[in-house]
Amino acid sequence: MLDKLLNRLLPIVCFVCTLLTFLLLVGVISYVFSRGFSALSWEFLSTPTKEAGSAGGILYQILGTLILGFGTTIFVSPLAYGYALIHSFFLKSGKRKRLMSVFIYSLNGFPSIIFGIFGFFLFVKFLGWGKSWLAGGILLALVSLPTVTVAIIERIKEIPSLHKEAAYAMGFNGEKVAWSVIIPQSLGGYFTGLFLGLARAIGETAPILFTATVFAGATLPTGVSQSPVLSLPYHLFVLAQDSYNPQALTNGWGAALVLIGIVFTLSFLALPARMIVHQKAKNDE
Amino acid sequence: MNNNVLISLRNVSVFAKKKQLLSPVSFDVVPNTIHSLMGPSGVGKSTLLKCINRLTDLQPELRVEGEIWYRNKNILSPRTNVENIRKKIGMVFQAPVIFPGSIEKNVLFGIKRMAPEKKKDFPEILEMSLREAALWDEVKDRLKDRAHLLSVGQKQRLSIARVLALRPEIILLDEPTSALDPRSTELIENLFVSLKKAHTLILVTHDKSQTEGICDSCIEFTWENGVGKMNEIQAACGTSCEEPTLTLAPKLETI
Repeated sequence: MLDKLLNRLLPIVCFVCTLLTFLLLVGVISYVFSRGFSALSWEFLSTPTKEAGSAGGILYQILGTLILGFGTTIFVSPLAYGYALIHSFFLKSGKRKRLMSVFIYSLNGFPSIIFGIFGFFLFVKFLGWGKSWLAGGILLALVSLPTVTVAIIERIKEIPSLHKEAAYAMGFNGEKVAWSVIIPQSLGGYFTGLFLGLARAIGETAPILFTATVFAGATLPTGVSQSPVLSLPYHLFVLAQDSYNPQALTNGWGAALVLIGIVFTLSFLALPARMIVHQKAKNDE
Repeated sequence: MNNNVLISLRNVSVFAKKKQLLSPVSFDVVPNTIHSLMGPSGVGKSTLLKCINRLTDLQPELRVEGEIWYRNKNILSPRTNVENIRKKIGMVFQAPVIFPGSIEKNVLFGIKRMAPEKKKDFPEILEMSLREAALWDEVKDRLKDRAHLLSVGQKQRLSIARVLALRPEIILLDEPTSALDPRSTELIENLFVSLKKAHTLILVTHDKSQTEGICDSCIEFTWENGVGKMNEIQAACGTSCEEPTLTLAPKLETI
């Protein structure tokens, strides 16, 4: 009797949960849209901020966010590929491989403020960089590292073992197999992971709060040390907290909308990369 | 070792951890012949074939004992340079292996990385390998097309062309026609007969008619108490058997 009732309830509960998730997402997006849309204009996107956010645009916040994304890409790419290749190609099996899996999944659950504090002591204090876009790129690379690494690992798993065997049978050593078979055939996973990882990283505030970003006074970085950037999440953070000026708040929502736009664009870019992977997998059959 | 023997297996046996998979096997392979290994599936023929190019190294759970002599070197010795051996001993698998990319890219896949210094000869190597694999006429106008668009039979000949591009002395064939239709099979069997002029072929098959049709000598495997065992040498089982030539293929560099 109870079994039957539970069986009946299951699809209903699932449906309600799906609906709630959907409504929540649509709700957040439409709220940001309704609050921030009036701020959007070409001028808003293409001019620097004036009067502590209540006038002008967010040009350098957008550029700063893109620079941080660029730094992230530069650091996360070799780290993620190196980790994935060691895990899924060079290590045959056993304890070390399992340990590496546990580590990368734990890193994914790491609170991002910890990266921020760690970065503050390492880059700002110990290395004496002050606030620097490079420190931000490195810390955001750590934030996105698990996403990118796991995406590459999953793709490497799908490579037919016969391709590896055939390459070894021609006299390739491990490095040649990695360059000719493993890396080219896992690029789709890398791009999917990279875009998703970047989408998460550039929305983060905590890791860059004390290490890479300021609210005002920065334009484009000219070097490494004492070279902070402005950024969209931090801009939003300050405006939302401090402002009693309604125009500044609207501009804050506008910045939020632009940030969501960038994140969605990256997520959509990840789609074709994934489609190509599926197409390739189909062809291999 | 007899001069007329190219490769000689001496008491080669295979273990998976402690369990024996294959009882000691000894036989010689004469140059410019097709030598077949026959028997039911699972008996260890393919594993034995992979001992010859040390592809068994990829399965750490396998342990191979005995000696395989090739050009005065024991292939199974830990000091042997495996990469050099595999350059000389090519391998074709049961299923065609097609890498993403064009037909041309597939043929040159190995040579591009194993002998990049021969870059200026690549167009010539490309044509020669495809001709040798009896595929040139079918693909010469679409070398830049994606290799995945070929039929299964063509894909298998493309896999053979890629191996031929490396100019191996010996070619190991692991049931290369078992995934193919009868017409493609016949084409590839004829191809093997033409290949033995310049190469030595070791063919794993469970098709008796294939062995009788194209092979010069054959070894049968059977089960004995759950362990694969070599049955007997049946020399010259094929009708196409010719007097094997005494010289080794001269154009090959020494290892």
